Amino acid sequence: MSLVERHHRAMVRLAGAYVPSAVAEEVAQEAWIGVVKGLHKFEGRSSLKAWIFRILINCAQFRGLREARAVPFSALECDAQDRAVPEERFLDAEHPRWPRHWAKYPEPWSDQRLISNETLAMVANAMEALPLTQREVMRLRDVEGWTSAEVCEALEISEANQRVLLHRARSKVRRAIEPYMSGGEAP
Amino acid sequence: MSNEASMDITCQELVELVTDYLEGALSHEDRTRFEQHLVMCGGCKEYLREMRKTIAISRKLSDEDLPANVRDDLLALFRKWKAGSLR
Amino acid sequence: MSAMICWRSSESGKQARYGEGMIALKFLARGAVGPFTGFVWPSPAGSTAGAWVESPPERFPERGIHACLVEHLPYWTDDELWEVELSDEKILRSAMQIVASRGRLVERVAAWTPRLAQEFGQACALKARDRAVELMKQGTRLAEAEQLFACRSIAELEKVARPMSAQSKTDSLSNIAGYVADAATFARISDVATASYIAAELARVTSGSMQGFLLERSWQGRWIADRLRLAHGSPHVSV
Repeated sequence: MSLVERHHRAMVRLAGAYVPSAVAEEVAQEAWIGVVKGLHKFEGRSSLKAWIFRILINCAQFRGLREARAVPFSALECDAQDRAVPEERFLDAEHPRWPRHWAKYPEPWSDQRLISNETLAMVANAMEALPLTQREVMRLRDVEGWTSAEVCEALEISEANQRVLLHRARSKVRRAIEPYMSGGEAP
Repeated sequence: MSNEASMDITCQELVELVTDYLEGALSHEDRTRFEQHLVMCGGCKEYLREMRKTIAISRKLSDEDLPANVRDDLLALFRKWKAGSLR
Repeated sequence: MSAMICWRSSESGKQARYGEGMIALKFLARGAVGPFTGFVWPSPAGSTAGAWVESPPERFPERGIHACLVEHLPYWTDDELWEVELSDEKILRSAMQIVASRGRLVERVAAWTPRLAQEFGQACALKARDRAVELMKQGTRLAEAEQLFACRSIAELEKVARPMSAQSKTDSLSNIAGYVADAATFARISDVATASYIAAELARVTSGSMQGFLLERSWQGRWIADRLRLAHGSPHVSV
C-alpha cells in the first residue's frame, strides 16, 4: 500500500509539530482512520496528498488542545534573524562605488562535504531549529518534494506567504551549514 | 550634476530574491536584472550555487520507511474498511 | 516541422541555413552549460544541429530561451559563444537580449576563445583608464593622469590606480581611480563580465546618466563584433 508508506513518516513528523512526539504516532494513525473513512467523500477538487494532510492537521490540532500544547499557527512569524545574510557581509550603504555588494565573496563549498553524513546531520539540525511554520514549509517542499500549490492548500496559506517562509527557512539552513561547507571545522 | 541611478540590483537585494528566482516568481524584467547581476558578480553566482546545494542536501532527508508493525496495522485497517466493517 | 514566421527587420537575423528560424548568439558556461540553471544544452554533432530545447509556452517570457544579437553580447560574456537557431512565431526583444520559446545550438563560435575574452576584459579596463586620464587632466591632476597613462600592463594599472583610489572617499577623481583599479583587478583575473560592467558603470557615473552606460556597452559590443568579424546589426556572418 504505497500511499500509506509514502506519507506516514511525513505525517508523524508533521503531527509532532502540534503534539508531543510520543503522541504523534497515534495522531497519524487517527488521521489514517479519518482518511479511510472519508475516502469515498473525497471529491478530487484538491490533491489527495493535501486532503490527507488537512485531516492530519485537524486531528493534531484537536489533540494538541487536549494535550495542552497548542502551538500558535502564525503564518508570518518573525524573528530577529530575518535577513538571509547578516548585514556585515556587505559593504555599507556609503561605499562610493559598490554599496551593499559583497565585502568578500562567499567561499566555494567543498564537493566532498556536500555528500557527507555530517552535512546531512547539520541540515537536519538546522531545520529542527527553525520556527515551526518555516520548518513545515521547507520540509514539505524540499524534503518531501511537494509542489507549492499542494503546500499552500495543506497549510492554508497564500502563495506569497509560502514563499516568504520557504525563503527564510532555506536562508537560515544555508547559513547554518556555510562555515562547515566552506572548509571550517565540524561543530 | 544629476546622477541617473544604475538599474543593477545590489548583492544584498539579490540574496533576498533568490527564492523568488528559483520559484519562477520574478517578472521577466526582474529575472533579467537578476541574471544580469549574476553575470558580473562571482559572489552572487556562488551564493545561488550554495542555495541550490542546500536544497539538494535537504532532499536526501526524505525517509520513506515505515515501521513494520505500523504498516501492518494500517493495512489491516484498509482491508477492514474495504470489507465494509468500518462505518 | 511546419515553417515558422520569422521576425524580419533590418536588425533581424539572417534566414537560417536550416530554413526555419533566425540565427542568434548565446553565451554558455564551459561544457555548453546554462550559466544560471546548470542546464546542459544538447551539442551539435558533426553537421547536425543540437536537439531543440523548448520552454513552456504558457510561461513565456518569464521562462524562455534567451539569446543575443550582436549589440547584446557584452552584457552576457561567458566561457563559450554559440550560434543558436531560434524557431518561434514571436521573438521578444528587450534592452539586453532576445527571448524565444524554442532554440537549438547550431555551431560553436570558435573565434571566442579564452584569449580573446581576456583581451576584451583588458580593452574595457584600458578604456576606463583612458576615461580617467581625460578627467584627471581636466581636473588638473596631471601627475596622476601621467602615471595612469604610462601603465603598460593591466597588472601595472591595478598597482598604480589602487593607491590613488584610497586617497579620499569624497573626492570624485579618487573614486574614478577606484573604478579603474577595480576594472583592472577583474581584467587581470579574466573575469571579463565584471571588468566590462565596471567600465560601463564608470561611464555612467562620469556622464551622470544611463546614456553613458549604454554608449560604453555599445563600444564594447563593437569591439567584440570587430574581433569576431561580425557585421554589426546582424547576428552572424560566416568567416
